[in-house]
Amino acid sequence: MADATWKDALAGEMPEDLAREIEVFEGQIELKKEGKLDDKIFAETRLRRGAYGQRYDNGLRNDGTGQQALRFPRDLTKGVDTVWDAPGMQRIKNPWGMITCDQLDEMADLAEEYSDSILHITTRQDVQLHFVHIEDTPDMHRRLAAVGITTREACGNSVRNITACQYSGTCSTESFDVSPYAEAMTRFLLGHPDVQDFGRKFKIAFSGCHAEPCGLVTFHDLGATAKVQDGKRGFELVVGGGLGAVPVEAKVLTEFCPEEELFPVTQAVCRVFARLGEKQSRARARIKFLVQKTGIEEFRRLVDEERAELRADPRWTAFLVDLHATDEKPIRPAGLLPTDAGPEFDRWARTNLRPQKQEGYYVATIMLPLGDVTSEQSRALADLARRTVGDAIRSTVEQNLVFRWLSGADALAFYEALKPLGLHEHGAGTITDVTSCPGTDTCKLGISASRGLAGELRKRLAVVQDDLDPAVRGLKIKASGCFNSCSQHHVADLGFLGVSRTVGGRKVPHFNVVLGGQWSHNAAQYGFVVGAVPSKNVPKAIELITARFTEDREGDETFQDYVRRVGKGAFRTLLAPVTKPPSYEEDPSYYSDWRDPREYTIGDLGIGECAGEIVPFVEFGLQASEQEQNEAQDLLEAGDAAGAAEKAFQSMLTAAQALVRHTGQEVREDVADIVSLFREHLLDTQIFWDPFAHGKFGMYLVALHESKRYQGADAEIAHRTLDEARLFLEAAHACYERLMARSAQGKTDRQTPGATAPAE
Amino acid sequence: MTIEQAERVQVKFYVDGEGPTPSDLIPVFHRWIRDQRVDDPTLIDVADYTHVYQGPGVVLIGHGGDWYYDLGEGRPGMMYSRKRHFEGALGARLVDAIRRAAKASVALETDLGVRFGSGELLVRVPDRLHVRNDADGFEAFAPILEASAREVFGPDAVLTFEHAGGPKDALCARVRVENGPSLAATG
Repeated sequence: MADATWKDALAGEMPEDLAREIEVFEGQIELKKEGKLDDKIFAETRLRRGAYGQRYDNGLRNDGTGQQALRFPRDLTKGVDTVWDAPGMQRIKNPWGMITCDQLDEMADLAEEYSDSILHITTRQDVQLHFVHIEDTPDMHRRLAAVGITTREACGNSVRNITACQYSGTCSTESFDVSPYAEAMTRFLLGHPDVQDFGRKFKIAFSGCHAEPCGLVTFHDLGATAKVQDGKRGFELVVGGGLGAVPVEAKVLTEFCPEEELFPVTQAVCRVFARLGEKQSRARARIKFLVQKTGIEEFRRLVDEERAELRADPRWTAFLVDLHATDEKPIRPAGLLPTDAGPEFDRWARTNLRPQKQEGYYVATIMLPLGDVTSEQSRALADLARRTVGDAIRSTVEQNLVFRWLSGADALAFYEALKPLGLHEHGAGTITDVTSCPGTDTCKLGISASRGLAGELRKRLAVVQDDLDPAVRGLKIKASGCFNSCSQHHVADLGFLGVSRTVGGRKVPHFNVVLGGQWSHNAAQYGFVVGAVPSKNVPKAIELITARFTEDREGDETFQDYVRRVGKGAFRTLLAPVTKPPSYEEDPSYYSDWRDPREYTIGDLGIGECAGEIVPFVEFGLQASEQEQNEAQDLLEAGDAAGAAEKAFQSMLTAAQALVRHTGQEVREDVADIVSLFREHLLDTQIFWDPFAHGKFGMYLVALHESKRYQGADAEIAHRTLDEARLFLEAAHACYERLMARSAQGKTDRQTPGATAPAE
Repeated sequence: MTIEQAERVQVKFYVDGEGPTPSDLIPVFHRWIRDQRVDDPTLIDVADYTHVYQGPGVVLIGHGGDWYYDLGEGRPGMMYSRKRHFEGALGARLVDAIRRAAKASVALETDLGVRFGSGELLVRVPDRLHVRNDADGFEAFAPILEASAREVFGPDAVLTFEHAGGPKDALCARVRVENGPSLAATG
């Protein structure tokens, strides 16, 4: 009996385009296994499908006595120095944090079958599954596609998950619900040609208002804050923000962008970034560096200029006709919270329930320790949602889940239902709700054990939280394993980032202490570093800082104001007693990290894939063209001559489109447009030109388009078309090499504003 | 659906009594990697989920399978989870998984002084492509499981099988063993 496959089992249940993309990806996995794909190309390919590397995937691991080679069975790689069989991470995008009950069920099953039964919520509203094998990923993608999720562009140099406030549509301070805009933009930019050629990733966030922090737009590459002006909806757009080692606050691109201009302006920003952003040095390739380099005025001018040249796209405004497409409908009648439910419920309700603007409804926050939830808990939560709120679950940037549209009348029963799941912890958004990136647990870049620290702090603070001063209880703690700020420590009251120090010839894990970041007002202010303390002294450092704050606080002074009033020097003095670790002989525990008994080392650090591999988009186009030619050959051998000829012609179009785009032209998914632009910019200019055959191979495409010979072809014509397609692709590769050589010689092959010479 | 094609199987033996503090397992598993204490040529890492309620606990990640000090059901136990690359029929996979879980339990008894019971085990097949946790699935699975359990626990053992879990769970069965061999003899 033939093996059952998810491909067959889910046939007809997946959107056709997603099914097709996944099949191509599976084909690329096979090609890589056969050694027919370059490591860099394959790495970028899998990253763009959300299949990420993980710590130790270079095949080396320090076991506490020294670095050991991990004996993986096959001598195969899935990227440069990345072992094929090494476990990796699958990132799953949840645009604007939205998760349906069925999606939660499916992710729970995937975690159980392919991972370790844990769903990890990230600080960008994604879900991550760890310890996944690359060969399992196509089936995972299929199962996700069947519930409406794509992992496309979850990693790599592309537009990442578009985030938005988890309260959108329910929040009393919002100008309007940003959910439909975030959803439409997700669809508009997914796979859009103008976002395929970035030097680095690009993060977009939506916020419903300025006052609340939920959208965190100020540290995003592009942030959109809802605004109503003269009765008209629009957005304040900011650009060029980012955290990382040196946080940069985004600059205002426009104070009011009318809603119908949101997409074209975003598209123009992306085109400017793709064209002028750094490509060679990853360290300076985020858009914040481009904005810094040009200045916001010049950047604005470039965007305006680009916008003026864009050809109108009906998708820019099509979504505006139904801005209720993302609305959630309550499934239970509104009701009042119970007044006599007892202190335990009241305590939970105070921190974990937030009234909606719709009277009688609440948003309930379910605190997930370190962002983790088990498969079993997830399935139970999906069932609970079906009974109480319907498909109104969202993930949050603080690594929790919220259930929206909870009737006040159901709140007590809801709370009781969380108890057997162990998810009834109170304190959402308070000092116990610690955020952490994966750190050394699974991240190749991790320097210190941020999850270990966060887990320890949660445990200790949970015991004392009800006795803490209210001003301290409301503080936020975020811990990152390195300077890359994935926990968003720069905007925490108490932020920590992993660093290493050498003491007595041995490495000691430390955390830099960052104080006074502002979470409110969309993360309006970043904290400052006051110095490093050994990992094992961080709890003591927090005790010292919070105790001093409680003692010295003036009136209603906020922690941010307090930190700025007393200054770095005071904190350095305060922390001095805990900055020096004891010698190894006195206490060797300082020389291991939290929840990891191995003697600490930074020898396991790898090369991050966060940035993605830098592979020009044109190379993906040529690769796709080749794949289509293989499929055409298969069709021909299966006796489908007409299908083979059509596919061969399509392969030529794919290659032509990639090359045209590489010359800086905007090209649509339209056959006539592609052929016309190809002729104008590559053939007539003699760029697509063979030294001997001259324009002959290029004319194959033009002639086929004009004659439509590929339609209803017989075997003879199909053979000929396929032969022509192969010659065309060879010429396309040669053309691309010439363009690259010209670039290397200093000539531009792109028509960039300010550039003097377009391609000859 | 064809249960014989199911690749992934999990077997859990339960701790007798309270069991150790879960975080105590972290150094033990790190040591197991260093000393190659369990049978997998590629032992990779230790994952700590002790912060999660009734979760996977502490996991020793291998290439072919993982070993969990599992906290599921609120009953700690040693679970072996076979992931990939195993030739042979499902019955053989089950026999192998039961033995590996038993062997790791015995190793933990030695290292931490914890005691495991040999009279009950949980068996799961987290492979929804090939089998679901419904009556048909259990009916197809029961004879395979029975034969495997018989092979491991011997002719004198009294075995009973119970369909466990809910419809959304992976196929799940509870096996009770009376008059069976010790865990050491099982592994």
